[in-house]
Amino acid sequence: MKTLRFNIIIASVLILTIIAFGVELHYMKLGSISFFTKLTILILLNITIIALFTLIFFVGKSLTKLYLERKNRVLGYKFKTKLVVILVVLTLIPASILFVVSSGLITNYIDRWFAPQLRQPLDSSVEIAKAFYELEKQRALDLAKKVPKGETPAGNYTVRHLTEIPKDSTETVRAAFEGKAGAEVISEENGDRIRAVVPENHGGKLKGVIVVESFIPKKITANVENIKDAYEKYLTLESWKVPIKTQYLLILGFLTILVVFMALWVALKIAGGITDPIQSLAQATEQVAAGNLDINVDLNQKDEIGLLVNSFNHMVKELKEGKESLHSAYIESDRRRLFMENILDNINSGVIMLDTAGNVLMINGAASSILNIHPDAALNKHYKDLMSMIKSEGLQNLIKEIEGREFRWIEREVKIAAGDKKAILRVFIKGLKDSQQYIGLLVVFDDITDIVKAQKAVAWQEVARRIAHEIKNPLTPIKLSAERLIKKWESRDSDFNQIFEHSTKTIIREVEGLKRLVDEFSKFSKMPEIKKTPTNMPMIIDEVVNLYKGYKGVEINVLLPKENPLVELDGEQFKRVMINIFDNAIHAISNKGIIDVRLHFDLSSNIAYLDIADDGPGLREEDKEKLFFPYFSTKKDGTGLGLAIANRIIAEHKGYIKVRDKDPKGTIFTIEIPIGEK
Amino acid sequence: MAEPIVLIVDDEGSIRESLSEIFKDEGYYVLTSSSGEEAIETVKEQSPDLIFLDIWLSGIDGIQTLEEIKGLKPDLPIIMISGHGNIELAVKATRIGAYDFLEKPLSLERVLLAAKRALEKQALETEYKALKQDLTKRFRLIGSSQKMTILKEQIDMAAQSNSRVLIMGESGSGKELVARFLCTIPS
Repeated sequence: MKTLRFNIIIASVLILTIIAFGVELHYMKLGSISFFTKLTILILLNITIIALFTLIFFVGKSLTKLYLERKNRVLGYKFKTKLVVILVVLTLIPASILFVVSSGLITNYIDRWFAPQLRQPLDSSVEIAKAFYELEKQRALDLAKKVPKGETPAGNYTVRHLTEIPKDSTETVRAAFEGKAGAEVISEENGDRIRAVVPENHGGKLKGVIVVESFIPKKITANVENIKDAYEKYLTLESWKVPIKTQYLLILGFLTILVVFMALWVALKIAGGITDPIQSLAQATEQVAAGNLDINVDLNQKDEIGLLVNSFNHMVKELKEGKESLHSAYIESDRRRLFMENILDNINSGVIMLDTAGNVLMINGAASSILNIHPDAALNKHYKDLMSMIKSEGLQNLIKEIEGREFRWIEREVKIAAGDKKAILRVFIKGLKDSQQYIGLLVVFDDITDIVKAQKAVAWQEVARRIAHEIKNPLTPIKLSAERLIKKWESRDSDFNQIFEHSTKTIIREVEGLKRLVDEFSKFSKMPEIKKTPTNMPMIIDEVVNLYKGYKGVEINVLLPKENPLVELDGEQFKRVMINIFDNAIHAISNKGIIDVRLHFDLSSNIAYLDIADDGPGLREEDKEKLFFPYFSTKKDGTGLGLAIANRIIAEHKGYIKVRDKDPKGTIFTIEIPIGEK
Repeated sequence: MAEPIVLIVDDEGSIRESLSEIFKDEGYYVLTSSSGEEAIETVKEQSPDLIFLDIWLSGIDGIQTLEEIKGLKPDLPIIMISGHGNIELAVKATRIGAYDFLEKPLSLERVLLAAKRALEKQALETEYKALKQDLTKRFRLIGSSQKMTILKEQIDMAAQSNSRVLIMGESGSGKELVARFLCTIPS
């Protein structure tokens, strides 16, 4: 393919050369010039033409390429075209002006070489020289004709009489012997000899010839020869006028076109130097856009384009690194997410996440099994739909409490009935915040049914044990007294009467103690129902505190909040609770010390807190657990029911009593009850 | 023998009272304490011969009180009384060194019997110790001559070893004395 193209090029060059030769030969009319000169001129001309065509070929190729680029709208074609046009125009204008001016000058110059003013003197000189010789010849001839008449020529003329033809005779001499007169010029070393020959007739008979000769000295003949030479050279030169002119013009034209083409070529090169990297950049950009980041534009240029390419390569590398790190971060976060999901699915606590609209975002396995709901049935449902599946008064109250309210967290135990399953849950609800934005609600709950059952069992075991203890204690004195009586009776002791009285008193006393015990217990089991009314808490506190004014060593400080919302509670029962706690406190401080009462309201979570703190010795850890059990008492004369009853009353108010240590010593009882049912 | 001293420890006044009366009837000298702390003080000051100790006390409980008293007087017999018979607690108390474990409601017969036995055992132990003391006093090697010193050293060596010992000597030279002495040395 390539060789074929090469051959075609060579063939066309050859054909062009031959055509050119022909055309040139035809137009240049170099008839009078020697072959060698002709060849030189032709070769020069053709080299010029070949160079021209080669240049045209390459430039044409570039231009065709540009044209194709334009047609296909390859990136950068506008810039290339612009650059080419600008540079070509910029060079074409001065080059063509230069061409026109130069060609004019050259034509003018060459024309001037052959101007008529120059030729005329030459022509005239030649004419003069010719005329001079003709004149000399004529004069010699005239003189020779006069010789037979007896005249002797004057001057430097020599006259000879020849009767026969000399051996070295000239044509003119021989012609004279045949009766024909003539003159001739004979060039000699020292000059020219003018010879006239006429026949000598004697009565119509040729006797011989008369030869008259004059001598023109070398000084004159050399000049004549010079004039002749100059004239001939001039004529030759004039015949070269057209080829020289053509040659000059061709060279000029070639230079002009060379300049223009160079400009074109440079423009294309420069444009290419800019657009090629841009093209490869554009291609690379497309690749990058398509997602291939393993790309590197190769360009070893140290200019701005090189800088651009380097920046691009750097950018792609950064992009790749960024993408990779993003990918690894994604994998890491995905792994963590899976890990978290795994944890959430495998923990025993139920976890539900709600979005800001209250829809279920996530529900874990434990949650669905505790609530007896299929996860798909709960996902993306509103929590109210979820609520309708679970029957729970406690949960509904809890939701009413927190609905549309800002809160940090809330923890509550609620009973639920999901389908045929009944359970007790400890629910923990927390609002989730992302720095400042509220993003949802986290609900965590545990099924504590079994724990509550076990706790109840333990509590009742403890109660049973305590009741047994409380009953066995009075039984011992009764039994011992009775046995003693029998013993004394059998031994008929003298002090029997006295012992009888004492023993029976003991028995009666202990039996009464037993009765009281049973009464308390039945009272505990049959507590009056609470009747809640909106109550002014500070007033209740004041009433209770007034009851303890009689204790001389006891100082009671009351701290009340500014706001005073009415609280839904049973005033009488609440007073009983406070009295029970106060009794404990007074006992703890052994009638001497400080009792601090502090009431405050947390309106956002709808809870009233009442702290009753003493500065007594504090509670033992193991007693804290048992504090609210029935029949637990640290007091000798206590029934162990006071705090149990208080706890029950507060529980009926849907509240809690909590106990904690006071710093540095003492105990704080905190009563928490809801302010109102909203 | 002087009248025995019995200490009754219980936080229930009526129990203390009824027990006191019974023991007084039987000719005991009775001390009472309502708490463990008080009981420990009483033991230190009055050295009772016998203690009735309730397990369930306010303040430090019965078991702890038992431990402390045993620390003070290891030989003092202590009878535990409890409102709720619980084998674990009984075993624990016995291991610490309680002599007996009685369950409420207490019976007069059982209380007196336990007290009697405890005191008898205590008396026997005391007697045994006295006799043992006597015995060691009777079989003593006296003298500090070189020969006696060598003999004592040899007896010592024999006592340390686990082998059989043959004691040889003429009749009346004191073979039996050496043998008894050998037995008194703890190996």
